[in-house]
Amino acid sequence: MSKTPLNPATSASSNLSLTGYGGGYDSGYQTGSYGGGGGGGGGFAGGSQGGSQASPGKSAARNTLRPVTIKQIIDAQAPGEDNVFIIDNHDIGHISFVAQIRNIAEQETSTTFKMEDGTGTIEVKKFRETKQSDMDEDGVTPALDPGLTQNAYARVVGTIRQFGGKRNVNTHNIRAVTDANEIQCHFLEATAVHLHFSRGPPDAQGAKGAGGQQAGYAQDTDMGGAAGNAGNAANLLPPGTSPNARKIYGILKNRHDSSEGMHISMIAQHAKVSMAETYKAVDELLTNGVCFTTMDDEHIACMDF
Amino acid sequence: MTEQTPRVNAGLLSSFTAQTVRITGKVVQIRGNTATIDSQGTVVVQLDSETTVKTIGNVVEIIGKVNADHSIKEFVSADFGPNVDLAAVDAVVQATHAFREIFYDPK
Repeated sequence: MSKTPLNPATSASSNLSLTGYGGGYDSGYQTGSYGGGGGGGGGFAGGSQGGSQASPGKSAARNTLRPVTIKQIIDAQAPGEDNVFIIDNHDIGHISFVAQIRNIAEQETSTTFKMEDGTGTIEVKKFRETKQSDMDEDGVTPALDPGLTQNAYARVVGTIRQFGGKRNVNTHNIRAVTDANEIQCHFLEATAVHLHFSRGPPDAQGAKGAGGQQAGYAQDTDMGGAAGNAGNAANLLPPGTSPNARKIYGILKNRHDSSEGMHISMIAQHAKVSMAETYKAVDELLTNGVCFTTMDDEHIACMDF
Repeated sequence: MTEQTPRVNAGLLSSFTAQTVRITGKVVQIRGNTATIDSQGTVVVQLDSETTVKTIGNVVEIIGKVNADHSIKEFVSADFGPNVDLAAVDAVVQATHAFREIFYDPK
C-alpha cells in the first residue's frame, strides 16, 4: 500500500452526484474474482479440480481490498468458517477504512487503537514489526506514524478477525489522514462500492432505465432480474458506454456463428440505428477494445470474454 | 447500536433532536462560547471548553447533541482546515441518509 494520498480532493468531487458512481470499477473486478459467474463457458470454473482445494472464488477474494464503513465490518456475516466474512454477498479479503482514533493502548507486541467513524466502533490491532524484511537497513523497526494521536483521523488497511465473539481488525498499515478530503472521499467510495455489489454497476441500469439518474437506482431493485439478461453482456462494458454501443455489443455477442464478424450495415439494420450512429457506437466499442475489425474495416466482431 | 453519530447538515437537524450527530461546516462567527457554522444553512454551536473551533473560515466537524432549538452542544470537534471541498461533505451527508444501511441504524 503506497503512502501517497489518493488525491482525495479530485476523486471526491468528481463523483459528487453518486449517481455516476461507477467511476473506475470496471468489469474486470467481478469477472476476475468469480470466474465469470454468468458469463458461461470460459474461465477456470471447471469444477473437476474443486474437491479438497479451496474454491477459486475464495482465494481470489482474499486478494481484494474493499473500502468499508465500520458498521459494515460489524454487520458483516461470518458463515462459520474461520475468519471468512461476507459483505453484500461477497467474500471479504482486505478492508480499508477511515475513522477517528478514540483510544490508544500499547501492549508488549502490539498497539490497539479504538476507532470510530460515526457508523460504529471497532478495535484495530497493529502488531509490532519483528520480521527482518520489515526493518530498515539499520535493523530498526519503523515507528508508528507520529500523527496517530487521540481524536485524529486515520486510514487503516487490514483484515477482519474474530475470536470469542469479539470482532476486531488486524492492520498492517495505519497512517494519519492529513487532508480532510480523504474522509469524504472514503465514505463516497465505500458507498459506491456497496452499491456496486448490492445493486450492480450503474450503467447496466442506465441502458434500460434511460433518463432519470436517480431513478436508475430507485427502480433498480425490481429490475434485478430483468437486467440480468442484457446485463450479463453489458456488465463487461466499461461504465460510460453509450446505450447504442451497448445494444450493438449485445447483438454482436449473440452471434456466435460467424468468426468474420458482422458487416456494419447489418449491424445498423439489426440495431435499428442510423448508419451514422452505428459508426459512432462501433468506434466507441473499438476504442474500448471490446470489439475488433475482421477482414476489413467494415466487419466487426466482439471479443469473446 | 452503540455510538453512532450520523452525519447531518442544518436542514436535517429537526429529524435528530436529542440525538448525537456529526455536523461539518465552515466557521462563520465565534462569540464567547458560542460559534456559528454554515452547513447548508447556519447552525449555532455551544462550544465545549476544550473546543478546537478557533479559526473563522476553517471547516470543522462537530460531534454533539442536537438541542430542542436545533442548536448543538459540542462534545468534541475536529478542525479540518480551510481547504475542504464542501460539496463532497454534503455528498457524504446525502449518501448517509440515502444509503443508511451502511451508516447508521434508525432510532
